[in-house]
Amino acid sequence: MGGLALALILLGARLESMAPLRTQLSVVAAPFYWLADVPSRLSAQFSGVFSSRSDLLEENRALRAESLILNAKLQKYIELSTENVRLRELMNSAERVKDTVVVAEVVGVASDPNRHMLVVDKGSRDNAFVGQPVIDAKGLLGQIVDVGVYHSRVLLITDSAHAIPVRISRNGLRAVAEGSGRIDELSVAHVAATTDIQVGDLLVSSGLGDRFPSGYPVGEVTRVAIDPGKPFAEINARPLAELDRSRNVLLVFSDKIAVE
Amino acid sequence: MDSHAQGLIFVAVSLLVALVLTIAPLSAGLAWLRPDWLMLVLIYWLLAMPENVGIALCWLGGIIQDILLGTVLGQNAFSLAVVAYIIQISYQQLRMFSLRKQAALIALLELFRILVDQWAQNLNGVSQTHWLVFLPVFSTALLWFFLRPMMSWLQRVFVAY
Repeated sequence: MGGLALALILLGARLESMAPLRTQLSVVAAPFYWLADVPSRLSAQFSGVFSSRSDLLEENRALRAESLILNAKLQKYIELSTENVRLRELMNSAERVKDTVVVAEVVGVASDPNRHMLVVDKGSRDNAFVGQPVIDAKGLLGQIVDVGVYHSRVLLITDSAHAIPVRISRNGLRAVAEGSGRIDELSVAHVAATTDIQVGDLLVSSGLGDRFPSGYPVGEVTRVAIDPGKPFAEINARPLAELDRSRNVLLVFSDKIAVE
Repeated sequence: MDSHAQGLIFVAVSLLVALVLTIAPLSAGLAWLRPDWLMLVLIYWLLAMPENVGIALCWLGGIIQDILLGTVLGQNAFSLAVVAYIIQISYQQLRMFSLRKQAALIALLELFRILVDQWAQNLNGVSQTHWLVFLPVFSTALLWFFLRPMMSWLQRVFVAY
């Protein structure tokens, strides 16, 4: 039995043919995730039942105000995006791919606190695929690394095994933001000490590497430490997506990526 | 229903509960302390019903844990099979041990499980780990002091021998 398990460990990391097997086996996991999620579903339901009328009215008012503001911003956005398309046509460059999103619910988090992963309730049944980008309302969250039939596993951008190509929105400088293993920190690697990068700069996904679509906000630079003795600056950033709070996330289907 | 079938159902239910507790969401700080429920429950059954619970069941439980956690397929199956083998070759002596001695052995076995876990994750490309990953050694050993009396009480109540 031990030998069989060891063989699985060593082969699993190398053989491509193990992936479909995992997808099939993941059906076993569905009832467990359902059970483990019961408490949070119940508490959400109870708080819905027992919230007072004045709270609801207050929330309703706040949401109306927010919707008004967002709609006003949207008007400007529509104008800007048409202008952007027009300018791109003038420059003969391709129109940016349109992204469609599907809302997924987070049903579990990695029980190993060393790994930053989420389990969401969309799987191969809903056309989720390995490498699919996942975002929330604030920014880029991560990518799908494991697709089951009913669930998939999302690797967050702060996991120490994750890195994402970014660019600084202020000046277009390219860099790579690596996960630090801490939920509120990214480190930007291999940036020369003489580079123009400041605290407060916005990092957006650059679209290089063909995994993440370009232009989604990733993080905000929080620290730039330049040590004259070292060839590279030490740069930290704070992820913009609410990695440890999101209950609903969005799976991004962009035409260009889905074709692959 | 005879007591044997009752016993097997109780084993199955306790393993299901252990697996759900393994993936139940905990706050960020508490998650480091999460005890190894599955190993504790399996060790209890390896000692209490050695004729029914063996290496094969532990292996199967490990595979299910791997699927649930998304870890390298086979890593928990491997470490649980080794734990089961160690318990099985000496269960007659281990049964006679005091709770404290058993807890010490469990701490060692849990340390082994964590080291296997770290090794398998390194194969998978996780480079940075925190020393806090070793905290379950203590929480798992401490939990044994409560889990064994509780399980044997439940076994007496639900399984009529």
